[in-house]
Amino acid sequence: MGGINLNESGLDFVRQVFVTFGGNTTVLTLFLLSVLYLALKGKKEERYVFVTTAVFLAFTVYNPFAVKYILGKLGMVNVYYRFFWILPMVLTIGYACTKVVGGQKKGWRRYLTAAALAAVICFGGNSVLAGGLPKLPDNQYKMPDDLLAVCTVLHEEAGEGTVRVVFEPDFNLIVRQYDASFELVLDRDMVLTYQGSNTVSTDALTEQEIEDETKILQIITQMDLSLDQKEFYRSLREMNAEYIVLSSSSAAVSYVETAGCIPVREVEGHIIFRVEEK
Amino acid sequence: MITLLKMPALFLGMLAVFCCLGSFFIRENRYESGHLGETVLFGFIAYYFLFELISVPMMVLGAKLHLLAWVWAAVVAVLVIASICLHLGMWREWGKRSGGFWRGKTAAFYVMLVLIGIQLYFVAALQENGSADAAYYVGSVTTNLATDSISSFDPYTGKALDFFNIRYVFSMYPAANAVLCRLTGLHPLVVTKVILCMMTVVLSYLVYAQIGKALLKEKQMVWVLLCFISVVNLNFHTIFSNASFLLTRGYEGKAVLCNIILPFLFYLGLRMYQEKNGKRVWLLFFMTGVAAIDLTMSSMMTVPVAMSAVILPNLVRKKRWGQSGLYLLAVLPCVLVLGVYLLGVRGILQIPVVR
Repeated sequence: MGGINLNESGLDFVRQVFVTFGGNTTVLTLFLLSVLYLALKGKKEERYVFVTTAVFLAFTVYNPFAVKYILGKLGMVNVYYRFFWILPMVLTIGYACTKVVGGQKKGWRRYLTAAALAAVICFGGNSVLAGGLPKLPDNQYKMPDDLLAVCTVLHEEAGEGTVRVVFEPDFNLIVRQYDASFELVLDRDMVLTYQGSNTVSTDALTEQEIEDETKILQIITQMDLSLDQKEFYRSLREMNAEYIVLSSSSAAVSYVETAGCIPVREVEGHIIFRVEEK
Repeated sequence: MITLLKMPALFLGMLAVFCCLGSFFIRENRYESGHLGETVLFGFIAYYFLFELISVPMMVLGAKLHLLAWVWAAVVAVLVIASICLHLGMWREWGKRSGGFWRGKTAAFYVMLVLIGIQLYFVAALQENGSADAAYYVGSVTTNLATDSISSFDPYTGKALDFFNIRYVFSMYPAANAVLCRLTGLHPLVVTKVILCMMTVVLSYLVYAQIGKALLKEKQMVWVLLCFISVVNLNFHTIFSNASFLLTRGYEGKAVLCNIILPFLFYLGLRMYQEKNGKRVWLLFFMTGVAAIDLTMSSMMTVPVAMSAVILPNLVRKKRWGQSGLYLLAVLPCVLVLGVYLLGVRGILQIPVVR
C-alpha cells in the first residue's frame, strides 16, 4: 500500500501509513495540535467529539498490534489508509481554528486571526489549486475530443451492436465510461499489472488470456516490437479483437500494419485498424 | 441545450427529493422546525437506504435496469407526494422563513459562498481521466445502461459475468446512478462527473454545518467553520486524503463515504451525546449503515469502526448498557456484508448472475 508493507514495517506500519496519508503537508501536525487545543480548552461536548473519539480510535483500529495481528489476517492491509478517513481531521482543524477566532474580540482582531490561521494552512498544505483553476472541459462528457471522434468513426465502420476493440492504455481506461458498446480486449487489471501496479490482480483471467493480452500490450505500448508478427496476430484472433486503435505517432503503427491489420481510417491523431479473419 | 437545462433540474430535484424523504424524520411537535439542512441529510440517507433494499433483491433475481428505474421512480413519487401532503404545515413554515435567510449575514458567510463556489466549479470543470477506479464506478453506470441490466456485465471489458463480483456486489451506487441516467436521459459522465460531484460537495458542507450548529454558541461562527474547512480541503491534496477524494474523485462511492457518511456519523454521535433525536438516532444509525454499503463496500470496514467510536463512549459514559443491543443492530448490516465478502474472496460463497 503506497509502497508500505506490513510484514516489513511491522509495528511501525500504522505510523508510516499515517504519514503517507498526510502527504508532504503540515496537516497532520495541525490536526494533532488542534486535538491538543480542544482537549485543553474545549467544552465537554467538544472534547467528546474531537478527543474521545480520537483516543478510542488510537486504542483500536490505529493500535499497531491490532493492525498487525487482526487486520493483517483479514486481508485489509492494502486499503488500511481508509481507516484514517474516520478521523475527522478536516473538521477538527477547522473547528479549532474557528474556536481560536471566536475567542478574539469582534472586529479587526478576528479578521487578522482568521487570515493568519488560513495562511498557515495554505502555506503548510498541498493545494489542489497549485496549477490554477481548471479551464472548462473539452466537452460535456469531460473526455478528450479525440476519444469522442474515434468512437464515432468506430461505430461508422462497425455498424450497430457491440464491437471488440484494442485500445492503448490511456483510452482503454476511459472509453467504456463514455461508450459501453465497445467491448475491450484488454482487461483493466491486466493493463495496470503490465504497467507495474501491485494493487490489482489478474486472478480472474486464464493463463491463455494473460499470455495473449501481454503480447498485445507489448506491441501497442511499444515496449517490445521484436515479437513475431504472426504470434501477435494469433493473439488478436484468440482474443476476438475486431479493431485496434493506435496513436498515429506510435512506433507500433507500421508493425501492426505489417502484421496484417488493415488501416481503415485516421481520425484526430489516431489510426483505426481492422483485424481481418485470416 | 436540453442537457444544460436538465443538469440543474436534476441537481435541485435530488435535493428536493432528499428534503421530502427527510421530512418523515422531523416532527414539529418534538423537534425544532427550520432544520432544512438536517432534513436534507436525513433524506439523503433514507434515499440510499431504500434503494439498497429495493435494488439488491432485484439484481439477484435478474431484473432489468428499466424495471428497477420504474419501480424506483414510483416509490420516490409516492413518498414525495406523501411528504407534501403530510407535512404541508412544515413546508409552509420553511417557505415563510426562507425570505429572511439572507438577512444579517456576515462577511464570513459570503467568503464561505465563494470558497464553496470555487470547489463546486473545480469539481464540475475538472477533466481528469487518470483514475483507474473511474473505470469501475462510471464504467458500471454506462454498462448497466447499455445492457439494461444490473451489475451483470464486467464494467471493464463488457463481458457477461457468471457470478457477481463479490468485491462490489452490494454496492448499488452505480446502479442508482444508472437509474438517474435512465430516468433523465442524461449521459452517465454528466451525471457522475458533474452533478454528483457537486452534490457530494454540497452535502459534505451541509454535514459540517449541522455539526457546527450543534456545537457553536454563536451561530454566525458556523460560516467561519465552513470557511476554514474549505481552506483545509483545498490544501490537503494527498493521494489518500478525503479532501482529495472530495475534489478529484467525487463520483466515487468512497468520496461520499469519507466526506458525508463518516462525518454524518459523528453528527449522530454528537446528537446522541446531547440527548437530541431520542430513539430516532438509533434508526438513523442503522439506516446509515445500510446506505453506506449501498454507496461503497469500503463501508463494511470503516462504518462499524466509526459507529463504535461515537456510540460506545456514549453508552459507557451514560451507563446505558441496555442499549448495547441497539448498538449491535446498528453495526449489523456492515458486519454481515463483511462476512459475505470474506466468504466470497475465499471462494466459499458465490452469487450467480441470473439472466
